[in-house]
Amino acid sequence: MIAAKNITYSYNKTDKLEFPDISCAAGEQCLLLGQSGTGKTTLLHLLGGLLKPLTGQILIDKKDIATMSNQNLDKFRGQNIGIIFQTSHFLRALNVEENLVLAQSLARLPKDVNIIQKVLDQLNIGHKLKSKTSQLSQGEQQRVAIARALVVEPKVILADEPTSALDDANCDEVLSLLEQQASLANAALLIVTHDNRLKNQFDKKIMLNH
Amino acid sequence: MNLFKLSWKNIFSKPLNALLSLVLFSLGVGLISLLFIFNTQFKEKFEKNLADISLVIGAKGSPLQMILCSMYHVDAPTGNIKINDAKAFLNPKHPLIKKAVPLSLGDNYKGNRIVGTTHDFLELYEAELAEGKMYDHLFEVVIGYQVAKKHQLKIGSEFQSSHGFVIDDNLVHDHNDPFKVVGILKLNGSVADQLILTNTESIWGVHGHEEASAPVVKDEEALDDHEEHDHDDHEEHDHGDHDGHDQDDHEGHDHGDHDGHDHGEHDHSSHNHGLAKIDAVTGASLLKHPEEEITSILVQFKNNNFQSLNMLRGINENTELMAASPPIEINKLYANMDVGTNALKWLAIIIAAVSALSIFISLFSSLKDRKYELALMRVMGSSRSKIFWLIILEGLIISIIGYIIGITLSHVGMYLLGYFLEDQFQYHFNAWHFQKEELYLFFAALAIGFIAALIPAIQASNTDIHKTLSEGK
Repeated sequence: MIAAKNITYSYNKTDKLEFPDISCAAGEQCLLLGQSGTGKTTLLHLLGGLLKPLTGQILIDKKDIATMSNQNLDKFRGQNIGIIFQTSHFLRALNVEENLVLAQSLARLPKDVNIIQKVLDQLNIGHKLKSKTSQLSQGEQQRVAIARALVVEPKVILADEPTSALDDANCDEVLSLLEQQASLANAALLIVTHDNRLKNQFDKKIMLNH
Repeated sequence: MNLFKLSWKNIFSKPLNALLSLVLFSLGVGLISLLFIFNTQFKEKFEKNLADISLVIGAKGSPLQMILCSMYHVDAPTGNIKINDAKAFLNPKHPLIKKAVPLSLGDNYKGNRIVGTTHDFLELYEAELAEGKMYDHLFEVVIGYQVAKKHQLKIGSEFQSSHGFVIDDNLVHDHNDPFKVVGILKLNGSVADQLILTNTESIWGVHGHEEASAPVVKDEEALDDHEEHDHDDHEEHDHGDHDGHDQDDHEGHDHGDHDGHDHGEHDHSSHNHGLAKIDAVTGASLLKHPEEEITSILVQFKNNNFQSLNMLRGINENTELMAASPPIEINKLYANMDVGTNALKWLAIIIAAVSALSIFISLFSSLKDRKYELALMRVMGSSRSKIFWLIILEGLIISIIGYIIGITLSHVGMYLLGYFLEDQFQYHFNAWHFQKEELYLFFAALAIGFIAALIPAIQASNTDIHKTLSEGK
């Protein structure tokens, strides 16, 4: 589903980041491991189409997002890629439901509250539909962030350190929910982390070195 | 979730910021709109009341004061003139004059002026009777539409006039025969709406009669007033005029009133309670009373040639009378008024500019907090242009709401202002009349909202997603 080949990125002329080739099929779950400073976030942003690589190819659903026009890329990203960040951020002016409806509408999908309710129920936060996002606990916020990635039914889910801000109990729960939902949606799940708690839970691991 | 709803929610998630921008914006719009409405209506009224009057002739004094008094009924008279002195202008055979309408002022009923005049007055202002008939007996009056409405007067209603131009219970002429309403005018937008019209002789009647009960000493004092004071002391001055008038009565034919051998009609009217028929319905008929006084004469020329223009100078240089041209005096007044309205206009523009600045600052400073949110929206598939329009829409929404509040404020303000000015200026302002300037103001408001939001919007749409998200950890 997602495959990256020979990608490099450069912030300036002297330093160049080179990344290993990556491939992750639909329904498959991969872990990208690396210490701080190895360009984990940069890689995730490259894979998510938030940055353009200097060289190389990034194929998502057989389309090369590295060569897409900005406008098409915005649209493609909204419809095909769900991204979960280390700490969740939401539009503060909106409640949980409205944040998720916004995700659907920005992905040019029709508003579907049933899907939203279903996903939230599966993440055990169905009762928070009308809550303000600022009133949620961190664990709850991270689940809403997962829900936001899922409600657009993406082909690829990218997660950047999704558990590093959580305690052990929440870490396990959020991680298993993430895995479960990704496979339910038959999406490729790529988690970038340096969190050692996750190391042993994934079969497919890719190491990043600098 | 459409863009409009999102902008709306964003604005009102910070209600205090929104309030500040809205208050400033609506104040700016409201003040500008109020100036438009007031200026237009004020000038409209002034122009309507010009009524093709080419010249006003009265006693010497301030020409503007005479115009304001005789045409707009706001100021006190400059004095009275003897009919004998003005007889040339009242003569229907005058080669240049189409119409000469005499006015006798000095009394009011609850703030509305009673004007002794001829039937020609109606033609001058294109006023028409809505009901009843024109006065043809002493103490009969025809009242303007707003007078009837304000004091709930009907055909057949009777009232006592009071001296001067302001409401004062102490000055009510309570010894006199009451005035009786015989006709009510249609609403016509001119000063006629606010006036009580009667024949000239009724005014003489009121004051001639009063003289009987007024001590003679007072008359002499007043006569002094008449000579010493100019028009800087209106109250006293008026009094002087009228008492002076009484004094003239004294010297002239006034005792005749009582003895009943000068002009009998006049007399009978005061004493008989039966309302005598009067003949002074045209300017010419006043010529039979050369020693009586009137306040001024409104003159319409047959045509405005140089002879007519010379008449103004001729009167001022060669007679004891004063002539003034309404357009010239009113333009002087406008010039004075424009200084004030210009100052207010600039104040309004400054407020509008400050409100634009406030919208700009509030959007710009909120961008710092919202950078991550905007980056998130981009992650979720929003294009740059969508972010741009989101911010622009926030500026526009504030300006539209501010415009609506401002326009409402200005009309409510005009309503209140009109309420207070009506008594003072004898005008009825229409607070709910909308004008096309308000539409222009709407587009100006949109432009301000757009411009204020432009830089924040550009900044927002250029947000670097990667950088923002990396920093936002």
